[in-house]
Amino acid sequence: MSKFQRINQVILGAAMILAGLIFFLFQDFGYLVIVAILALSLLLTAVQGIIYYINMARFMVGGRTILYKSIIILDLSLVILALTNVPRVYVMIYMIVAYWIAAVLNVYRAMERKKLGFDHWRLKMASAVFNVLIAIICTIFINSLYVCVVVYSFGLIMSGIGRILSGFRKTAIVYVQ
Amino acid sequence: MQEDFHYYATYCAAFLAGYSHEVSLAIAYSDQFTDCCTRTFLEAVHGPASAATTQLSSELAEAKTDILGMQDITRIWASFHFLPYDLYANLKGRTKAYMRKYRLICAPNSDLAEETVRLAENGNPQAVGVAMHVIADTWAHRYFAGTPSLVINNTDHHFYELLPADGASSGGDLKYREQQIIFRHSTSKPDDPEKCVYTQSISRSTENSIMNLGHGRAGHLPDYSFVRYKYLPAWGDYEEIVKDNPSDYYHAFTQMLYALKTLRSGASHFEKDRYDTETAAPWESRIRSILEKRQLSASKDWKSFGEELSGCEIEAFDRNKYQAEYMNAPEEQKADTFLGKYFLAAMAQKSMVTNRIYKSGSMLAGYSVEYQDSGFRGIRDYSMLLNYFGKERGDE
Repeated sequence: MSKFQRINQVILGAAMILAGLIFFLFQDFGYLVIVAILALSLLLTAVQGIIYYINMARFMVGGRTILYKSIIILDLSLVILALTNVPRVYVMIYMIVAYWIAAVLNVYRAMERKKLGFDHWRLKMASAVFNVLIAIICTIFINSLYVCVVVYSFGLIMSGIGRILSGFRKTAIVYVQ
Repeated sequence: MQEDFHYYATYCAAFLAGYSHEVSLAIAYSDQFTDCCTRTFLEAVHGPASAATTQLSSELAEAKTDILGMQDITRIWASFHFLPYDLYANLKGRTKAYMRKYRLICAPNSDLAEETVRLAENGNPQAVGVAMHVIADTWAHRYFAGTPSLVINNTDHHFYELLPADGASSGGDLKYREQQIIFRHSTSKPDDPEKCVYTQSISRSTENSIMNLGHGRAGHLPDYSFVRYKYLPAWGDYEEIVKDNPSDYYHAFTQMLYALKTLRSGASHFEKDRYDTETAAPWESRIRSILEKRQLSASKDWKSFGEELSGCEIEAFDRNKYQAEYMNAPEEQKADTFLGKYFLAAMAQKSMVTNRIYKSGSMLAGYSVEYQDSGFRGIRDYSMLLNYFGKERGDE
């Protein structure tokens, strides 16, 4: 990682932690921001797709489909942004799906380790159980603004810590002749 | 390629090159172990994480595709399984971002292949095995890149197997009929060559999706020695590629034979585009018949061929064979164990390939620091290479 990339990782990580704390402390405001973030991320995906097409995909066999998909996503994101009141159940469904995917991946990883005869599979299985518990909590409290904001803030803070740690990791590969 | 070629065929090549049964077995083991040395395995034996030469599908499933994750994936797959052919390739009208990926496309007979074999000139069977794995894979995995990339590694429905036409041969050239390949995504079901049904990775239109790593989108077709097929590679500007695996695998075998002889004699350096067809000649029809046989694994045939050559039994490959030796060795003696030597050879290869990619102006495999110029600054695991190359430890 270059110095610029390291600084980027740390700044982004710190911003994520700060945002997580603000959402947690000011929940009504936090919810609105979370909805805005989710809608904007869709818009960003569309813009990224168009840039990706111009930069790379136009040289690829069948690359034009990337452009068509991006335009459709762009339309969708603009429609969502135009809606003033997004039901919170959609945000919760997004988080439930995300935690279930994480749980399935952790179970898969644990099973593969177990199959290979390694002892370290229990930790992964415990992570999977944790993911499932959060997904269940989200499902039970699907209409709760409090749970929605707390779970989202928790995920954001954990990702922020991860980014900061990776910014300090030694990454250079030493070449010895 | 799979165990049949990486283990049994490598054993045959090593024995034909003049190595003893024991050394041939050690070379073949190290070759095949390159498909087993995952970070999960290294965690279990408390080995250096930087020595990982492959990734389990579960490791890939949870791998991040951020900068660090991508660099880690590229280092592993480009160094050991998809050696880049031309890191300075140029195409008119393409963007820099595109070219960085394009330059990682694997093909045989590259400058990096020469450097790979030269790294094994210390004669360690482990280093020789690693080099043979890389060389063999340049033939099987050509036209794909060891980094996640939709624009390079994607394939579409235009994918046909070329099957010998009914008893047809004109003027010595075989005639082929085309049959469209049916791809599915179920990993639990084995490929069915009789019906031309094969498993491939799921289509994802994200550039850096793990599904677009290496030859995932072409399934295991590059790994089967018997298959001939044609398709449209994503990078190929709508030009068809015909892949003739039996021919490529025979080239791989004879190139390994030449490399192994060179390494064994130590009299000259390995040079690209050279093959030892002379040594293989007495067994050419036998080897070609094994390569052409329509089967998902040719291990049994290669094994019996190897045993006929040496008159010794070739034991089945056991991933855990040297695990206890490594784990029970005192810390200061770990580098002298079989696995210890293997880890060093793997890290030497990884650091060389990373350095070359970095020097070409691409950060796709990460940042490389030259010890000679800057001293030791970087991932601690690589300090083990200082002893390996007989260097004194400098600053950190």
